[in-house]
Amino acid sequence: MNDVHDSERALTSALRALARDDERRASPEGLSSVEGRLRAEVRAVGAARRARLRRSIGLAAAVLAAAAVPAWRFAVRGPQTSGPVQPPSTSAAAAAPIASPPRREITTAFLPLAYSDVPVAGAQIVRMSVPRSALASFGLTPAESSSAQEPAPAAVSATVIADVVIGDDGLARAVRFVRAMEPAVPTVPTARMEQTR
Amino acid sequence: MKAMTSGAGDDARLVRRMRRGDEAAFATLFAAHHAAIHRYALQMCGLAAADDVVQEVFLALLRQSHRYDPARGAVLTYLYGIARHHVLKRLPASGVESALDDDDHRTAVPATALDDLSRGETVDRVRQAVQSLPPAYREVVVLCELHEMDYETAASILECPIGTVRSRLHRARRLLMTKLAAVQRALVGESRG
Repeated sequence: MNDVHDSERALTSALRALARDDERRASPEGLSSVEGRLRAEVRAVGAARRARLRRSIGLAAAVLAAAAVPAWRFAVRGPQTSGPVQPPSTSAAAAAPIASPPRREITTAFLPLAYSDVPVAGAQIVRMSVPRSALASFGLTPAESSSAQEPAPAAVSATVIADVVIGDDGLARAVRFVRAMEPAVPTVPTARMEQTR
Repeated sequence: MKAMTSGAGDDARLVRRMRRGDEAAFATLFAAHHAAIHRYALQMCGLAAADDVVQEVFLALLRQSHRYDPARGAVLTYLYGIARHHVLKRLPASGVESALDDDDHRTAVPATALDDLSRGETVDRVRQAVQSLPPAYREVVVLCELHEMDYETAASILECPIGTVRSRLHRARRLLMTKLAAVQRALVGESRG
């Protein structure tokens, strides 16, 4: 019995000696070239990621610009068609600039996208316009105008606003859809209305 | 196995940074773990393939790092798992499960056969004996004895129950002692002849 224990101890000791010897000998010179190749791969990954991020931001900017230009034109053209409005000098209230009330928004919850399960350290939200048909792919039904505060059906855009969560790696993680509610139309003084006509 | 348990959270952060193309994070991970992976590959399939295995392991970590789940274990455990996958591809077609049905090696082994080895004079003989083990036994000896890994970690790398690791290690040690005793007998026979 003691012989067996002695043999076990001797084998363990011999294996420890082998492990220590292997550790001492572990100076893999050939691995410097391996490390060099791997570093180049990491740099390539970083460059590809930065390019992807730039593309995403560029795309988002382009979409935003595409949505902003028509909106700006609409905003500029509106006052021109109705002519300049001169506030009555007798009304102090009407003379004050009419501040545009803040737009209200209704949003959906954030809906996960294909890469939602990929861990990410940081992310940013990019607002963009997407085709209205995108709602259907998330099982959402495009809302119809139902109140006086919302745009008329004719004015319903072919696109909807979406907030997209883009991770630091350039992959989109989630999206939510935004519905802008038009502010209530302020009461216009009767005198002012008559003057424009 | 200190490297496997200490700084696991740091390693996970380094992996995330590496995925974003942070070369310094990669260099830190490589410096911390490449030696263990290289040694494992060397002990399992020889020097010729060891460098390639290291390269494949870190490439996999870089390209498929989203597969790494910190909740399931340390980065080094994950790297061992990838390394094992690549090592098995390089082993002969007989596969890792070969020779598991060998005779039960319960032959008495003279302690003197190992006395010399324990003095560190014949480490090469132990190395040769380990390398001559069937792969299924060799990998438990390499992980549990040479890399001083606990059974649970070894089982997660080998994708088998802990009991299997225990029984394979037991049989592997019996095999080793038998092989070393045979070498000792041969040497004694030579010296007498």
